[in-house]
Amino acid sequence: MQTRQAPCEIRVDAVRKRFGRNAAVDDVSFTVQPGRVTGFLGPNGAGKTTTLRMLLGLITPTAGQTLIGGRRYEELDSPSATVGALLEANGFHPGRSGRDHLRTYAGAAGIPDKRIDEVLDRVGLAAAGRQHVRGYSLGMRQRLGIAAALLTDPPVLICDEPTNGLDPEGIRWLRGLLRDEAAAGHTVLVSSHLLTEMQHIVDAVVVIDHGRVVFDGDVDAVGTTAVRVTCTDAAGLSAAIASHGDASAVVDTVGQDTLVLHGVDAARVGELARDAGIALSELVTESGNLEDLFFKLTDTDAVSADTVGASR
Amino acid sequence: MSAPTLEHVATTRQGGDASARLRVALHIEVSKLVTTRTWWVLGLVAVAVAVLVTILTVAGANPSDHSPLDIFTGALIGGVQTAYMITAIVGITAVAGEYRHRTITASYLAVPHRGRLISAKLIVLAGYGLIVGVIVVAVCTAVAAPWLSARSLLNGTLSAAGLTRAIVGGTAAIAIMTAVGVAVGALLRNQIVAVGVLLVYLFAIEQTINSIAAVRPIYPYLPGGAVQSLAFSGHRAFGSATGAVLLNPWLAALVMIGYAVVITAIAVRTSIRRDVS
Repeated sequence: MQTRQAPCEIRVDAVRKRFGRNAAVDDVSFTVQPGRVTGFLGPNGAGKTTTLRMLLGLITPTAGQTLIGGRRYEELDSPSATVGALLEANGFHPGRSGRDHLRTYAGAAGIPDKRIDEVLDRVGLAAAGRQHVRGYSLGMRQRLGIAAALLTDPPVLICDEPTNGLDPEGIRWLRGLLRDEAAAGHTVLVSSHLLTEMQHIVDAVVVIDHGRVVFDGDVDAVGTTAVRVTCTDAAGLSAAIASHGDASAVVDTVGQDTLVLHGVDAARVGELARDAGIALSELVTESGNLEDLFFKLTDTDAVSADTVGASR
Repeated sequence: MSAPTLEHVATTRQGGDASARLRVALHIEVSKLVTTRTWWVLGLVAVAVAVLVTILTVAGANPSDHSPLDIFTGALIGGVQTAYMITAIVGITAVAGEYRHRTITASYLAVPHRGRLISAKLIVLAGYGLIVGVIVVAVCTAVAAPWLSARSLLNGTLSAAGLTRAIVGGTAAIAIMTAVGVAVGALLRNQIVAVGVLLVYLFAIEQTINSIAAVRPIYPYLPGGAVQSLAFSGHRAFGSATGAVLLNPWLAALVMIGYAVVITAIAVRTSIRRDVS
């Protein structure tokens, strides 16, 4: 129990994958720590799935290596007991029951029926477990895939676009589940191209675009909060902030009467405006979000990895 | 999570040695086979068509054409040949069906060593073929022997050795051809293509080779010929006067197992090694 439950770090080390002339993954390195949810983000086609499949030994890297708890997936003593994986193109035989699917594939050997029922119950498939997968909806299949990933209570959980096919309630449930897994000390790596889904549950993010890592850090680092202020004299306020020597303050003028300020909090902006005799009609703190970062990073090639590195 | 059950999982699942890993793979393959309907539906079909072919052969038997031994073994081998085409299809679906339904991803996650996974399939499906083979041969013998006896076409000339060889050889033929199906499925990975190739090969290509005098001597070494040799050795292929002389049963078994192993080895180094995405 101790050995199996030992925390497992995921390490992706200078991995490349070429499909023909096209580099799907180009020198990607990052680590994923236990006890946290790490979001693996990027637009469709960025190389997320390819990277996750390399981690799981399904795709052979052209160069570099991927390690789970210091070993390649193929070298793990008991892969199913170490890593739970939910992958997009993972299929089910239509003529096999959900229960039998778990028994056959995810358990590998020796999973007691009691545990299978427990997991089916946890994903909300207790009633459908004995039905053939043929009759499952997309959401039920996704839940069965999640059950398969959780069956052995593995210390590492890797999910590729896990919210696919889930309804809003299912997405909320999945978020809680991922948080619980991380809270249990497990290593959780979740890919997504939908940022809003990830915003509130990830502790760390790795952003990938065109096969390269463009951001790798704590989600707190993403949230550079901004203050948006609307007033009668935007130019005057801008001058006031500058003259009062808030050195770290960065001012973006947005339109005639609106400023977006970084590196200064709303209370200070209010004081400065009062002292300068400028009336404010709006003063809002905007928490910087993942989505902004994401679009900033992945929008065009103009923002290179270097720029991001500098901003960290 | 309930610790005791998981401890059980941990202890049974741990173990790094190759034989323990193969046991896990075998366990998974048995479970895959018995949790869908394919195994018993096609198993029943195999027995049914084998019996049908045996009945037609015995009914159409003409005492002036063959020796009594030929009529019995001919009826049996007809049934066996039909049965192994069906069980070979079960073997094909064991691999190609996983690619078709995309369960292959889950399979490789559970058993990352691909050669081990396919080896486990070979062993499990050969075992399945053996069981179907025993049933096919037993039922066909039970149909053919009393009937031929009643028609006085089994006048005690059927030696115990010949009978044993036909029964054991026929069973082995079905078991090994099921494994060959696994190998073909692994090599081609597309279920429809693999079944098509197998049937065209057995029905058309081998028969053509057997009908051309210049290349006929290689026929007993081809899968269909070697399989006939298992139950029919020392005779000429299809009992005809001009067919190639069939192989010694042990050599035939070796040749057949060789096909399964060599095709699998090629598959593991080529098609099975490919990325699964």
